[in-house]
Amino acid sequence: MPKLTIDGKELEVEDGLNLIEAASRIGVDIPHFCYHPALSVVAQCRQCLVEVEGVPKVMPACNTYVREGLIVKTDSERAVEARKATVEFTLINHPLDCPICDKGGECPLQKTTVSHGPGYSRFEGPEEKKVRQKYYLSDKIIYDPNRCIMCTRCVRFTEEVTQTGELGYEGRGFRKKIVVFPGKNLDNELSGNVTDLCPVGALLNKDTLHEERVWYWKFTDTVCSLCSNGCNITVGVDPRKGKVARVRPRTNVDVNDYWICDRGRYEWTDIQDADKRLKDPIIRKGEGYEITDWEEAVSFSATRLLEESRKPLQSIAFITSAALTNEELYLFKKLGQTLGSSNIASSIGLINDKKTFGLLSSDPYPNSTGVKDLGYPYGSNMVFEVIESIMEGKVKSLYTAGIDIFDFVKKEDKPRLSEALSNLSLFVAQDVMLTETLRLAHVILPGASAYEKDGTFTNDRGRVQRVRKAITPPGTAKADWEILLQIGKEINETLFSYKDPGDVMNAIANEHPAYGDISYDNIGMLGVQRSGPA
Amino acid sequence: MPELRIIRSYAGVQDSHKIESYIQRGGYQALPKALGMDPDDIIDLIKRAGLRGRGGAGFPTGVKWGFIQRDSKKPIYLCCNADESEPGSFKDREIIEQDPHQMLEGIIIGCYTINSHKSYIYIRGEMPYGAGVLERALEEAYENGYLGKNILNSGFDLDVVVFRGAGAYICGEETGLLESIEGKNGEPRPKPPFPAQSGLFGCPTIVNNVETLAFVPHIINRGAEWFSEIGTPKNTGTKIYGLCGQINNPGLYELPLGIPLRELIDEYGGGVPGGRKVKAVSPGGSSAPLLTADELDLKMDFDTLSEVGSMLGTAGVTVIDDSTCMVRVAQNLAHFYRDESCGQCVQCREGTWWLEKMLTMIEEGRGRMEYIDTLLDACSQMRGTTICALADGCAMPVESIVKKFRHEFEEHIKLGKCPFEREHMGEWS
Ligand SMILES: Cc1cc2nc3c(=O)[nH]c(=O)nc-3n(C[C@H](O)[C@H](O)[C@H](O)COP(=O)(O)O)c2cc1C
Ligand code: SF4
Ligand code: SF4
Ligand code: SF4
Ligand code: FES
Repeated sequence: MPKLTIDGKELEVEDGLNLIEAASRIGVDIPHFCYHPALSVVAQCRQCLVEVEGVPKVMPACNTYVREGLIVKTDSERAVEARKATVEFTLINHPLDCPICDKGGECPLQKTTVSHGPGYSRFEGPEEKKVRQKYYLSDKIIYDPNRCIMCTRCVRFTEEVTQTGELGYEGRGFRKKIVVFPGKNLDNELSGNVTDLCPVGALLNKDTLHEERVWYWKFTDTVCSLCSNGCNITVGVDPRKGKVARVRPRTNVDVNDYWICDRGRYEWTDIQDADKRLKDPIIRKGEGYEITDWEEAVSFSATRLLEESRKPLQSIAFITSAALTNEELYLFKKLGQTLGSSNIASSIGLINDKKTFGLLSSDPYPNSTGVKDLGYPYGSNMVFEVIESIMEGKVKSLYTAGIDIFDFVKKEDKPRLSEALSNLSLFVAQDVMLTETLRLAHVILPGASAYEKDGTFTNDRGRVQRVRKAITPPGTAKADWEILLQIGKEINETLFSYKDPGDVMNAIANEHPAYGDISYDNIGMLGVQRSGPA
Repeated sequence: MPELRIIRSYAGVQDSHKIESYIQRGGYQALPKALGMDPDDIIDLIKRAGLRGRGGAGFPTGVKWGFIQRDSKKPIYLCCNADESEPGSFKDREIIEQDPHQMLEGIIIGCYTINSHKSYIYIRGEMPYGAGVLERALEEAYENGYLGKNILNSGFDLDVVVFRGAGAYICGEETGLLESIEGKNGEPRPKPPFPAQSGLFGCPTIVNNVETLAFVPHIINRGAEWFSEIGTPKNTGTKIYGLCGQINNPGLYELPLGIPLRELIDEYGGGVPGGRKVKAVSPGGSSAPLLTADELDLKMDFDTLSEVGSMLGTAGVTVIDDSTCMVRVAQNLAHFYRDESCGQCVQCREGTWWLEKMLTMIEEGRGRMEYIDTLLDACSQMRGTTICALADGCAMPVESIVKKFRHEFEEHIKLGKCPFEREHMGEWS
């Protein structure tokens, strides 16, 4: 543990740290562009220059490592002047078009210019700047060579993180630019991360190009729900449109490092398509459907569920999926148990399967582990069994949440399932979009996507993480936990007296020892590991 | 006064590049001697001789060789830097083309000393003739048992390969050179680590200049004392000076380190043509800060020039007479470095571009007085702030020209045009 001095403050840090990391320990921010903790050190941008006692030249902090007795000055005149000059050089050929640049407002170059730059440019004649054509690096990412500061983060990402090597540079000196290697496409499953890594507006997402200034967006820290890895993300919402505008990785070295996959980044648009979403509860009346309000939908469902459960040869089935939060799964199961169902099942994905780049799992559900943990009879078999009994006519009433059971039968069996569902005496279905299953339900309850509700998912390594509501669901649609809670209350006020998902988590903690220590107070931003094997 | 020819013994000799010629002139006598020596003694000998690197920086060769951990488990490499691309420098090229075995003998002894069994000669891409000469020389050396397995029955094995560059000045910088051999873009590496710890393919590596290595056999043959008595106490031996520019007798001259610049220009170079006067001299390749006519009495050695803020560099001397526009000289230099910057460091990539831009604007009569101080400021921030010394190599001469010939810049700006005749100066792209 070497002791060193930075700006007059003594500190003791572990070996192997560079001066950027060491300085950050005492709150000293050394500006940097090319350095990134997950990438090799190239010391190219020269923005991190500091003075080291006994060394005649200013040194790049990213490539200078802590040593016993090192005396570092980030605030000496020479260091400050050197960094100021670096900013000036960097801006010589920079278009300075912040007003029309999507990165504006969250741009490290912009911030560094304000905090460390000279505040003026001695470069005359913008007409003298070199100007080059923008071009696409992929169908999702556009590159502006004029804004590029040649930090090579993007190149190193494809070389070192994905090891797919699509990006390189062409030309030398001021002619240098980032290119996709001939014969390659920037199409690896993590490609979008280069847009976050880029410290300027040189790599931008086509989908949000010129959509909105970033400072108008509202940001919510949550977790991706598109596979079992549970990457930590920040969701940017454009408040004018009330829509998610962008999904970005949130650093969590225990889950996703600094990255998310392109699915998590780009493939949530469906859920936002208002035309595809269920907006209000619907009740089947005779041959037709009628839009209704929640009061009617809830009381109808509760009353009918109770009636069905009291029938002498009752057989109510409850089927859900690992798309629901732990709290929802808990409530759903409890509802089934309260109504005396012996057919409660949930589909899950293949847990701990091989992952692409250590992230993207083939299990498309965010909460397969939660299903197991909460004591669902799990395994795809179980869902098949229940569906089989539905088709055999053994099940008289059914409640589904977040699952299209038609996905679980072979094509030739679909008519059989249709018929069986049509013959049910009660079918309550809860989901976000209209599915084949929902079309046959007596009551359709519009739920919410993971961007629209609070709760927790347990990822494939047993880490319990919070999803947070970033936007409101469309129409009068509700979070699934809320729907379940309301129906539960109608059925048994005392058994379902929870206030909110946090309250439900306390109940989970009480009943499931693996969750014994967990509460919304200690899950925090990065989640906690539940006990027991992953 | 004749030259003092140690390396240039080939001058005027027919077929000097052939192995017979080299042997006839006493070649390959140092090798058996060296192979019988303890590597530590060779390093000590080279240190005592005071041999300093001829690639530009003048770093003591013996000390450099001493950095190598000879019992490293990884292979050790010696790379001969034959990339000579510095404007105004053309000494290595002659050694390569006229006497390849001389440098080769130096390479073999160097490899033996540092326990290297593989050596690369990195030759500038624009020297195809030299590359051919080297290839043939390697064949001859293998045939005669100076290369390959069990060299001269000493048990020492060595393979040498010629690697041709692809046209980048920056590949002469030692770590750019290593990247290039590794098949990557020729981009210098941040240091540390230094090549002696982690060089070619991450292995301990020595990079030496052609001329440096060519001296080695002579020192083995004739001893450290003999060598150290030539030149000045800390700048020992001879140096091949190149003379070019506005001079009557351009060419290469091998003379002791420390000869006065004036003697070099007047006695060997025959002075400037047309009865004009010397205005400025670039004493050591394009990267060296320029000297004025008042500084011609300086001694041409590493330390003297560095004391006055210039450098001996490659000792490629470019003489500039009083018909030449110094703004144009600076512009020409900046243009070269702008095109040759590898583009990693912003001070270099944008700085060279900016200098060239400002100098062009001044030269074309579009400059403003503030540019002069901005030029100086930019130069000072380009020095010592980058990965390699190319940025310094641009900033130093430009800065020296602006400081020493400031009046010419002011005149351009006041007149709104270049006051010099330009007919003999071609355009460039
Ligand atoms: C931009 C640049 C270009 C260089 N070009 C050459 C070159 O062409 N030949 C050379 O021997 N050294 C060149 N050098 C110096 C080398 O980096 C290195 O110092 C030298 O090869 C070491 O050899 P020496 O110790 O024998 O002098 C260059 C350095 C820089 C910064
Ligand atoms: S595009 Fe962005 S990340 Fe890539 S080199 Fe340029 S500035 Fe860096
Ligand atoms: S790897 Fe999985 S959790 Fe992570 S962003 Fe992609 S889909 Fe979402
Ligand atoms: S100083 Fe110039 S040539 Fe050297 S590494 Fe930096 S950008 Fe490349
Ligand atoms: S962060 Fe240190 S040089 Fe770029």
